[in-house]
Amino acid sequence: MDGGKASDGDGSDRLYAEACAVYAPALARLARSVESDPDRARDLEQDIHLALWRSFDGFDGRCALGTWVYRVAHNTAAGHAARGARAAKLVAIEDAGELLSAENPERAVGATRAVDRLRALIARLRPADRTIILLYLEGLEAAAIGEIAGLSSGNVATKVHRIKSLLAAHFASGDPS
Amino acid sequence: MTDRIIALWQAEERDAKGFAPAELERKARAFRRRIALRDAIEYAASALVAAIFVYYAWAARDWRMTAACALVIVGMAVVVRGLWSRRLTPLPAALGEASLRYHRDQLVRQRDALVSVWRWYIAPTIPGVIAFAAVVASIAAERTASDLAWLVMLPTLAFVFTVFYAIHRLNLRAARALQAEIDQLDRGCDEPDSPSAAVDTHR
Repeated sequence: MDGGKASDGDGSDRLYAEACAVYAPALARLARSVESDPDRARDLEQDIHLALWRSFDGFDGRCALGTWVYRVAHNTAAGHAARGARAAKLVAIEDAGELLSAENPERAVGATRAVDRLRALIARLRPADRTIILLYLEGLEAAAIGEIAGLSSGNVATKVHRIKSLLAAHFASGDPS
Repeated sequence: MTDRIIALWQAEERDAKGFAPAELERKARAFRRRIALRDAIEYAASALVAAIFVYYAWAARDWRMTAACALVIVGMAVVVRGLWSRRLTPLPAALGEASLRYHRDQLVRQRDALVSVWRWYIAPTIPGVIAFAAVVASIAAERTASDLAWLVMLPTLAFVFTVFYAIHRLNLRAARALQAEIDQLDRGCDEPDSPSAAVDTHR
């Protein structure tokens, strides 16, 4: 793998800066959702930024900047997750409710933050479902999620409906802090 | 009702920033150095093994040993060439593909690599292993005027090939698991970007 850029250019740097101005927080949240260890999450965040910076040499503007950023970020993160968690049994969003119901009640009640529980859940999801729930949490519509994930908006809408039910059932109280 | 958790989610990491291009360039250079070092170690190890077999061939002063060592070295060269051509080289543009397609392509690539291990990693070494073992046994039998060397060599060869076979079976099992993941992706996706290209992982 060539770690450098095929061609340097102010255009790529400008696109990268433009992307960071809007999406850097989402990229950090993605890294922290995929990697629970804080140091490794920081490394993953850097890897995502590096991949994104390099990727702009191949960006031809056929999709929106945001679509490109999310695609590169999620593809890089998925590679990291696949290397680190082959042994872990991943579940579909349809089975995620069972996972949360089986959670130790003390832990669930005592969890300092709902976001931490949500991150733990996301880490256990299959890659496609993980992408959809993360993009939903970033506030994207079904059509935009479908373009990033490569699914029809109808399929995404069904998944989003399940995600909403799941969040309402298990995270409705939100973060007490 | 889910708005609150979404708001909580988006409140996280709000101060995150990008990196300066100079810093990214430094990271890219460090990455290239790491890969170059890994490649150098891999190829240096192969060169060392080749040098050992060259020495065997020279020290034995027997045309049979020379031929066997040449077979081992040629087999190893084929393996090294295979490693070189299979180095991970994702193009930056590929990362911009839709996630499902990218993920599927990665799984297909890994599955195909596992299924083909026997062809480019195991098979090229077999003629050299057999020839070297046969020559060593033959020379030992001549020098000791006994067939005992063959009796020792045959179980040794059987053990080596059992290990090869076990590696092959484990790779096929891993390839089947990847194929199951690919099938699962295709089932869960109403518009697969590429047709399912299942391969025979039951050999």
